[in-house]
Amino acid sequence: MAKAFPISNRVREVREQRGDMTQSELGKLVGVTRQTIAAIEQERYSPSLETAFRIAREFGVSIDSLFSWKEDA
Amino acid sequence: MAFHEKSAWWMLIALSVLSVLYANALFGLSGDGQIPPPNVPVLIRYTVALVIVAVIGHIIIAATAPSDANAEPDERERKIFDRAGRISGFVFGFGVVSAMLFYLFQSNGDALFYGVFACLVASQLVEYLVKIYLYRTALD
Repeated sequence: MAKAFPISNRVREVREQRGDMTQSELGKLVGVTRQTIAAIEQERYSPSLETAFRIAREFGVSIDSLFSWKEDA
Repeated sequence: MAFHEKSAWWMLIALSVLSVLYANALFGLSGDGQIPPPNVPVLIRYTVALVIVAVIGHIIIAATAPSDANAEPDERERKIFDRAGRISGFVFGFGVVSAMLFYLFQSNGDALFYGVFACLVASQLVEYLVKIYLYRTALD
């Protein structure tokens, strides 16, 4: 059974809103692999604070609008 | 699939197959079913075959995705490697201590050699398996 992570995110949603950005491209911009971006989007991995900030910066949004704490976790 | 996951799959298969062949070769050296003393030529053939298979496999994997092959492991992969290495090290350490204890009571140098060698192979197999598992599951 998959582990329930206490941190949820809107990375996929925001990336898809941009339309033209692939997981691979986002990975290159923030310094991780495509597989790690996929794992973050599927909430199978919580990124480091640095990577979270890098992703938020690439999207031009604040980190707390991208990542949030699940109160019920 | 990430380069390092493909690599782990390749090495898992190569090490498993070659280790079975090595064990068969050892048993073939003995007619009475007993394990023979460590045999240097057989061990060298096993080691050289493993190196060649590993190199060829990695060349093929790298050729299919050269950019992935040249990339440094990212933060998630480093976490996977650390965890796999820790579990693998535990398996190796436990096996070596067990082989040493066996030697203390049996004074069988051949068994000590094969015990440590088997632990080395087993710990590597465990490392590859844990890597593959962690690549495919949630990592906290």
